[in-house]
Amino acid sequence: MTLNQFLTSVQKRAFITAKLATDNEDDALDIVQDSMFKLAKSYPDKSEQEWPALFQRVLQNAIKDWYRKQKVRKIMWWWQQDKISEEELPIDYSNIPREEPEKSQQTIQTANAINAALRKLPFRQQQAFILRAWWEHSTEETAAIMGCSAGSVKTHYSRASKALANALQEVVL
Amino acid sequence: MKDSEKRAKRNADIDLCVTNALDKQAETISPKISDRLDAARFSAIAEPDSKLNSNPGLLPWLPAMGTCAALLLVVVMLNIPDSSTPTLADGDQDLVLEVVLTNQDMDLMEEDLEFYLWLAEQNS
Repeated sequence: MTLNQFLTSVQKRAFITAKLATDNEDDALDIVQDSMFKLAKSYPDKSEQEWPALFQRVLQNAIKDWYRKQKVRKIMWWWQQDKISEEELPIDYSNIPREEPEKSQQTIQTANAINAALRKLPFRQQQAFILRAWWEHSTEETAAIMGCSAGSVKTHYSRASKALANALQEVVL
Repeated sequence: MKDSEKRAKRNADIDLCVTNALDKQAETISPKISDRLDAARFSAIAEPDSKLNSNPGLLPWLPAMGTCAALLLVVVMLNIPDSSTPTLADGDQDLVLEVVLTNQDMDLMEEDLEFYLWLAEQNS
């Protein structure tokens, strides 16, 4: 597998991951773009087995940087705090395959509810859930990516899972 | 089935629903976003260093700014009058030359310097 093929295989999921964290398409694109450049520049000689964890670490660091910048912006522009609300992540309706109207509407509502529940999680819990459940990284890999212990990953993941279950059981089950 | 097992199963089912929903979102990403991701990937692979220069700010101007600063410094240095050493007016220079050429006594010159300066002014 070439680096190009690897990046092709992860770019969309990376974008969704960044978008969940930032709730902003442009910021998410910037984060994914920066991560791609950093991986291509700093780790082109690494083996392809190392790319997933490396890319994930770069991506998560870029997201953390984004959060730091947001904090600074909040301090600098305190009056804009209200803009960072807990609105549901908008879904691109045009690309959802056409189904029967009722079913389609239900799909959109479910997707919105899931995104909202994910976005309400504290960042570390969201990170642990996305990395473990969606990206299917092992606990140890996730710990290395998040820069914490395996025990912390288990705790964050378990709490995230419970919070999602509480928020979504009536929506998805 | 115990309550804890039920809860674990429920949580696992919800985790699966969430990941399926995320998969669907990734699959149905808009073509516009997809194109931008492709473009970013092409750039990253082709020129990994180019991102550093994509928003360079004042970076390209640094050599020009450095050259201008150096030139300005040279011009200023050349035009600052040296106040540490006294300069002689044209008349004074002639007087000194005259004294040297005629081998006059320097002590006399020091004593009557004001007279010679006055004399030089009168002559000029």
